[in-house]
Amino acid sequence: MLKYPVSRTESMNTVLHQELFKFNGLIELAKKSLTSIKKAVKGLVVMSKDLDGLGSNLFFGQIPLMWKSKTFACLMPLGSYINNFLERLKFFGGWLEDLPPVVFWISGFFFPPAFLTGSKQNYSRKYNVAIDLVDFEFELMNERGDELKKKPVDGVYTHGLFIEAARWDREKRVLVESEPKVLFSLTPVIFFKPQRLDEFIEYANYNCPVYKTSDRRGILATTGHSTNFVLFIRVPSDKAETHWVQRGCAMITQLDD
Amino acid sequence: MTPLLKLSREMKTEVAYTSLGQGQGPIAERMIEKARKEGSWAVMQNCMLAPSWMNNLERIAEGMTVDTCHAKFRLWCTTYPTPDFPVSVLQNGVKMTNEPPKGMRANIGGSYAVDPIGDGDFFESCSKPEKFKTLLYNLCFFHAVIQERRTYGPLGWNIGYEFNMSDLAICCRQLVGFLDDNADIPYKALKYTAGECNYGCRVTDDKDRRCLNCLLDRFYCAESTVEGALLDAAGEYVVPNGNGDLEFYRDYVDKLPLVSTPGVVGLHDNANITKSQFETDKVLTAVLITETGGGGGGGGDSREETIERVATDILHKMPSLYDMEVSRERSEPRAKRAASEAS
Repeated sequence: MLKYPVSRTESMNTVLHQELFKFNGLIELAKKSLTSIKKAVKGLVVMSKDLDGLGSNLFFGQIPLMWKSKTFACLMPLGSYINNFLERLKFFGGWLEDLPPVVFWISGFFFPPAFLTGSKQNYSRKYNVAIDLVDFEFELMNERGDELKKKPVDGVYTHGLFIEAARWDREKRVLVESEPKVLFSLTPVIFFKPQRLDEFIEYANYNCPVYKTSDRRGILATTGHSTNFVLFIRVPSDKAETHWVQRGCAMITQLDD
Repeated sequence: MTPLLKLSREMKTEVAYTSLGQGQGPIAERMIEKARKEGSWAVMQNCMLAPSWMNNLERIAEGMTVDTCHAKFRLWCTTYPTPDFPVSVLQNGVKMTNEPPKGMRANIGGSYAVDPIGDGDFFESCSKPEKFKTLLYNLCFFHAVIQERRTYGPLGWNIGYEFNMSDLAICCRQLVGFLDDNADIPYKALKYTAGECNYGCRVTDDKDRRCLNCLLDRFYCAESTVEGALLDAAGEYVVPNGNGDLEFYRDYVDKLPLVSTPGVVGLHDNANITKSQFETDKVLTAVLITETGGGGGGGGDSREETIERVATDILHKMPSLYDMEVSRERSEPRAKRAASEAS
């Protein structure tokens, strides 16, 4: 209890709670369906249409269609998917058992917007500003994730994003063209800094869309959230924004393999 | 649709057409019935929009025999690929597919070959011929760019839009109108009609719309409407002379590079890799669909053994559930919960 002082200023506890709830749902479904398919293969229970589908998915190494309603967005083959799944469980397990991480793995979340809103809410409660008047400024950090030992005063450090059709130049601190034959590159740690809207300063940037998976297309929910698009991140650039728009430059939370 | 109407005029036959949708079923049925008796043509447009009516279409088509139909009667259907289209109609009919030509040169050339641009009278119909012909070339170039981008998958467009010749045709007609009616070129109006209405109406994703307008800005602007202006970053494509006739432009397009680089559509050279991957994926997926499963196999584990092995393996890796009580206590402590329940 001492590690987690219960307080109105820590919205992240709610975020964690919601994420764990979704992961528990997926673990439960996975265990139940896998146990059933084992029995069905042996002939102990009836091979339903769903189970038969699950069987072919396992046989061909695809993410089971049966889990679709409960799983996070992912385009990987089954093996990588399971590893990714376990990686996420480890991330949240560590958070639950121990302290919140200094650098959050943004790709691990079922629903990253909740996590980001949580961070904004912490800020708005701390300084007593309406959350509508707060938005994120972004800083691409020079430090590597393991060099950051302390969490920022406000906002969050995140890692895990990949950038397609461009790369980040650490020296010049701007967006530059990709290296030949390198399609994706890892972005550095990104610092999400909540700020009051009237504190923003203008600089040459590219408003880079962030998607969960590389197929980019998403379906809009009634809440206004897309199933794939997460948010725009402003990245400093010495080229016109139109250049990167035409390049089709975007960030994604995970690769396909 | 335009080429079909043109053909009907050449064949000197009557043609009735309807765009399918809600409430159009009975009208369409009467139309087919009339055409069948009188020996004219009936055109059912956009069959993909009326999946519920497709059963009726199948029934009507099955009822047609040589004896019950006039010799000159023809039934035409247009549709996007859709699983709703009745298979028996497909199998008994003549199928034509219309795909945008591949590559910049073929695409621009295609635009100059068909109506309205391919019509010599239309081509010379504007009161400001030089501006018109230059903007028209840029428009065709734009048309080719946005279609070419489709071949790059999500890198090009988040959603693969079916831009087609009717978008181009309406833009051409508006171009004549806007130029005739205004002393200066109304770029703002041109961009709005093309980017938000004609092409833009297909674009449902806001990021794609941003991209569409970026691309359009490259071609519909004062700097790009002078002879010799560069149309791509590498300078491979430039704006031709604005005084030629239709033949001049057709010859000019014929001399464009056969293969274009990703740079023309605004992408990085790496996009070639993405494109190849995307195309390979598409071909192999299509091949896999034709495979009805079964067969093959042999050697190694049986299907059942593999499934069981994989299932066991994953089950072993699955941890126990998270303790929700611990996390719940943190996000909403019991004391507070009790208080709110009591109140």
